[in-house]
Amino acid sequence: MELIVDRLTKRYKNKLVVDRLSLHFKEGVYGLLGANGAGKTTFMRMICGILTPSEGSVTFDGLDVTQEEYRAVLGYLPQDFGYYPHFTGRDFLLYLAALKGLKKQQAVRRTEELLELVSLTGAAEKKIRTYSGGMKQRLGIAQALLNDPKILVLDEPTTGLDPKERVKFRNLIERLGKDSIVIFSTHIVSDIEHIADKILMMREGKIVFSGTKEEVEGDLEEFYLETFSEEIS
Amino acid sequence: MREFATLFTYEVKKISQSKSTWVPFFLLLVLFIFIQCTFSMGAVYLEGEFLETHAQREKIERKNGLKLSGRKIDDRLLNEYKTAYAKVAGKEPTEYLRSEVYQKEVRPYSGVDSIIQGITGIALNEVTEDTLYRARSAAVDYKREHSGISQEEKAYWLKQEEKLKTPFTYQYAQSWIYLISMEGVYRICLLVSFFIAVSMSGVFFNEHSQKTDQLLLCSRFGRTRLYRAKIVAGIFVTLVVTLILYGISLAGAFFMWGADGFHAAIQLFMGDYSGNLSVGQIFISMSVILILSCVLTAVFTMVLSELLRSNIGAMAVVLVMLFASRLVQIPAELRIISQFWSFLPLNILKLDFGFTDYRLISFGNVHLTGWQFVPFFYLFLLALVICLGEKVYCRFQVQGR
Repeated sequence: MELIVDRLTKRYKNKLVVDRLSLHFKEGVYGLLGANGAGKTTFMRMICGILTPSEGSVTFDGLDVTQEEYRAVLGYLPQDFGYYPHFTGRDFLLYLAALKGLKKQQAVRRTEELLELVSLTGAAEKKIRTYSGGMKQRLGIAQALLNDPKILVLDEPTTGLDPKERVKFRNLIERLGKDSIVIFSTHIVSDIEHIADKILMMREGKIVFSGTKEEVEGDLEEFYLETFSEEIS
Repeated sequence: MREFATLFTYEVKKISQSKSTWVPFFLLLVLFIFIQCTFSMGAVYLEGEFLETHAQREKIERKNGLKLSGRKIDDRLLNEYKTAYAKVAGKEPTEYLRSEVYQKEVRPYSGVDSIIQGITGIALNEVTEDTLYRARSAAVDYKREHSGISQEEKAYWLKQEEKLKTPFTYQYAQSWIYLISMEGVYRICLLVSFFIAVSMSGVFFNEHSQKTDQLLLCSRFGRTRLYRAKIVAGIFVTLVVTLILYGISLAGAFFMWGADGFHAAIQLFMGDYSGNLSVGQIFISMSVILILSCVLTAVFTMVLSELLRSNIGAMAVVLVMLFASRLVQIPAELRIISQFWSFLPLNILKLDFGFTDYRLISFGNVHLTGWQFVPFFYLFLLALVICLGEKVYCRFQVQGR
């Protein structure tokens, strides 16, 4: 299982948002850190095939990002996304399960499992418009996991979760990382510190650090602040 | 296929739960039912005094019309008509409309009278089978010669004219006349087009505005089956709305006038037309065009909103086209443009305009009238718009949020 990002570039007119990134991902959890505007979301969108790169390619075990088979093994939780306010939580998951190609029985089973996993079983028949921010975020996490993805891309997934939920979610990501490639971005350094097998730091469209927690000298938060000192100040 | 059916069901649910669908739908429904009821409301007054209600009038006309139905409009019937109408000749309507003579002896022939007046307007004492059909022929020739059509087209219509059998047979066909007039199929098309402009412009656009597009486009079927499911769902909702209004219109007309006269020749009501068609055939043709035009307008609106990335923009374009097709007349000298202009839904469904236009579309020796050509033309446009829309949809990029 290998996700290959080869010289991936995104350019808007004269602005280079992602600059020739070449990375190889295998099973594990990859934590992506970077300040706002570093290019994290653009990079993730290109991995998910919803944004076409200016140059370069993304492939998973020989499948190009534009292929249906690639999308069949992908799970994505965007940073800021919407819901169908008139749908119930269960309907929302069943709809996305159909979109992800799950058979009806499989979809029903998986939906119930995930509702349980994200503690939404009791609210499954309620309209999404009545959900709190945290409940919506949990529903978003559930939809990303519907198809048991081999590639799971999570853009700031812990936003809106309370501390208890965050811990639960971190444990879940850690578990998923054993069989899948999990790439997740966050501003919360402690999230990365706990679960990321590999840390990627992005600045101005480039990876400025790639390594394990052990390779970071000293405290990760301090290292992060040091790396991005110019932008933070 | 099963996944497609599931996606289709959810897409229909999304469309039907949207306020931009059910609010205009219920408004249109109330308006349409009210309009349907108005033809039986009200009354006829003569010099300020009540004469009869519209419902009573239609009941009497129907009863009289059905008595005459099936009779040839020949010298025998025309003599009866002349004898009856001679009893009120030279008098003002105010003098005779209340009289028993008019109600019992003259009024039963009012159906024949309106045909004669519609065809020729010749004086009562001159009406014979010979003068009537000669006057009609003169009107037909005049129309053909002054329609600005080619010799080949004139020859085509002359041939059509030769196929007509005279004397015509009288048929009471008020329901079908109503349905093929601007109050029937045409009105349904107009109202459904408004509905489509408001409702269908959000089918794709709402996914972008509420930021659900990211989830859809990265899913397995998000760029393939989902597009088709959305298009089919939009068509389905449009058809349901169209058929509801269509059903109400039909039920209202049949309740008021019955379903008689399906086979009545159109010449009874449009004397100078040479097409060998019955009012029922025209109704069926118009219904096919109505369905196809609604489907085409719906798909066009959906695709346009995706192309423009704006539901308001798509709505504006569709509404401007609707108004323009009603208000703008292209001079016949600009033949190609004006002929294609007459193929717009609200023009082709106008009985005395696009539908009975004498200009033809010719492919070698095959000549098609506007109403024969339009269904194929709409199907072609439909396929074209669907393919174009798929390209636009699949190339969508999620950026800049």
